[in-house]
Amino acid sequence: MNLKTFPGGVHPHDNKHYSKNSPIREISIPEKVVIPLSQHIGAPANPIVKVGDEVLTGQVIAEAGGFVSIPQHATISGKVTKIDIFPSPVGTSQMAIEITGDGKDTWVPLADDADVLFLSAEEMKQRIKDAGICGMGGAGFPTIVKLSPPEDKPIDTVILNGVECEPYLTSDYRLMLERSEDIISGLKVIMKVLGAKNGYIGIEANKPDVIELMQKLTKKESDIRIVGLKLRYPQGAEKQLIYAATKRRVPNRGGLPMAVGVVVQNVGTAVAVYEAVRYKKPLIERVIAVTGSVVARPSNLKARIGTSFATLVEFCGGTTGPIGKIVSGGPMMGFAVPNLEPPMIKGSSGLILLNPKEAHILQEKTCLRCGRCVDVCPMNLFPSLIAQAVKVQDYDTADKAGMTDCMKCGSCAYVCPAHIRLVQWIDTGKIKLAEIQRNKK
Amino acid sequence: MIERIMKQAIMNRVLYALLPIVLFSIFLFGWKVFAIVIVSNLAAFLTEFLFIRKKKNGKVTMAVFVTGTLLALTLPPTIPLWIAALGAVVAITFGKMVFGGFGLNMFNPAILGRTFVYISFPQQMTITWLKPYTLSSFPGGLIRWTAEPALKTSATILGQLRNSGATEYSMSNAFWGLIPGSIGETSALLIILAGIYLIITKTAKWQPMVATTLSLLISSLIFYPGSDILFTLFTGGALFGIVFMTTDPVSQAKGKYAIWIYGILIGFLTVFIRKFSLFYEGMMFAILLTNAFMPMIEYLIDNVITRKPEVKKT
Repeated sequence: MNLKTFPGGVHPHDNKHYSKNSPIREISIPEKVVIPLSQHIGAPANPIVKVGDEVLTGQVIAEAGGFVSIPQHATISGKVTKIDIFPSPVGTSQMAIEITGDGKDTWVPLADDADVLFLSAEEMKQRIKDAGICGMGGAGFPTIVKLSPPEDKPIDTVILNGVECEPYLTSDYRLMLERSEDIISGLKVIMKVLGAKNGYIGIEANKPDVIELMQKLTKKESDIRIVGLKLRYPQGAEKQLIYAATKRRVPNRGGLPMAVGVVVQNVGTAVAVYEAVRYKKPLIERVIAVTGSVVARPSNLKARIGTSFATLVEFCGGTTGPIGKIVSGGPMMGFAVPNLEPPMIKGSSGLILLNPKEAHILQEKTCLRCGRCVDVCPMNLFPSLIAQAVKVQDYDTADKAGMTDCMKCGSCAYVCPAHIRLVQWIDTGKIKLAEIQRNKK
Repeated sequence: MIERIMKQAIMNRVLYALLPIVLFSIFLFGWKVFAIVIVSNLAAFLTEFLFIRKKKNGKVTMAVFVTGTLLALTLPPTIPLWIAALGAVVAITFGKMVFGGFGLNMFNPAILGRTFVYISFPQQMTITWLKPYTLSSFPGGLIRWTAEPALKTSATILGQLRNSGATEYSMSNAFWGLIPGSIGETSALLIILAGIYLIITKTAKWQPMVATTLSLLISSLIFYPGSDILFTLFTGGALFGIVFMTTDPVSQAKGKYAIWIYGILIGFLTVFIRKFSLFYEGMMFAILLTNAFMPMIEYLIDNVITRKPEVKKT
């Protein structure tokens, strides 16, 4: 097969063997869920329930806070017990709604339109919007916004991201094996909404079974192509995937995929879209890989949004030794969290427990100026220069060097022989620069 | 003092690559070679230690030993020990520490040290050389301090070529290393093997090596038409410079295009200097000159040639 890729990048050990062969299992309904109001990029949702209210599974408990926002739904039925600040899986604390379950899991009424493609694009969009779907690959951009491009930016191509280039993670892999038809239906829905002519599904070469299966299923579809991609990190980054599949280059400095007529969605999002359009089912559960050397039985779990990490780990048989680090998301781009308290959210693709040896942090040494970070940077930046500029608080130079184009993929830090924490420095710079620009206004 | 050495795996690997070359040189020229290496390293280490002694958490980088060894290997085997030590002090002081220490120097310190010695002590650096022991005289230098006076010779291959247009040494002599020359530059084979090791272990980049080699060969074709171009490569420390000097991570060019320009410039300047200047050898000056101009060239590439298209934020 003709494998495609992008310039730059690294090749970390994928460590997917832990949970690769574990079929998706549905975890029992948790007693309690914590649903953060901001699980996405954009304005947080506004709560419309009060403490003490009874809610049903799938009932809206917070409304979208603006155009770039999504509503949140109750993921179990029961009583709202708290609306307060809770620890979040992306490193900080934020407002969330706690629901204590009644154990019955009573749903709001759902629909079933088996012939989803006969629905009008408008109706589809409405259902996607109501379902509160955001990107499930990790970043969490509201899907409805991606599906509502401005008039002057026609979209002709939809790419489904089944690359899963992050080490350890296997949730998308299992999903593509077990729900392949729903993924393809989801892609068709998205293509109809956008009026796009071409659909691609990008899959990395380390999942040959998925590539084969998908090719078989799409044989009769002339407008859907399966793109085999070389094993290379960060192959699944939006701009890199677009380049590999279509050879189109998204402009730097804040350019969006729509500028080149492309919309990218994660395969998990496609399933959520399909379910939302067919059943009017809101996004209240997802597949998450609970994996790592310390987990007793690494698994791919289908769990309700808001389930605490501790419950997930317990379901996997607990831990087999001391935990060195807890990573929410993938090891390259995920967040380290202090304990197992935070809940999983719509963008949680994985929960990784590392042993202390694996989590050992290497001491930062002097930069060799060897330029390896430059070689691997998929965005063609000069990471060590940016990091150095941030260290001396010269945010202007850092900005000019393209700091804001950095997507924090971590390739540079991965290859750095001096173990410099380049991503942390660059991220610090980004935050500081945003602060300075805010203060100017 | 040991705990104040910063471990750098990359630099360790360069030292491993240099080890066979040092051993072979001892066979060729006697144990004095080893003394030169030790003295140069000691001087280099002490110099850097003096600079970082009072600095909080200051550490002597492993790179100091690479500089010390590289410098020693570019000196003739007849060099007095004190000159080697002085060269190392100058290399570390003016090649590295005045710029702020490791990682901040724009010139290759070892080359800078050698240039200083070369210009200050031309007598010791260019007049007397040693004919190496050949394989038939085994154990050769392994049982001697330095070669017998009978083996003194006046010129390296490049010197002979410059003076008389001919040399008594053949291509295979140069390849195996049985030629007069600086301590480390003699055996093309060992240097090529070291180069392969450095590339395989990802210690050094292949781009500068390839770029410099190609440029050197092409330039020799232009400036010395009809001559054996491989001879240019195997003599005058060209190969040693390509493998160990152009790949210095600190002073080499960084950008994807710049690194090719860097190699091409070094190759071209080496031949150009050999052909038109007073000196027999060009590698050393070529690297220094290229180091000096690279920041400007990289700035040009970044700002003029590959200027990124900017999109207005919506």
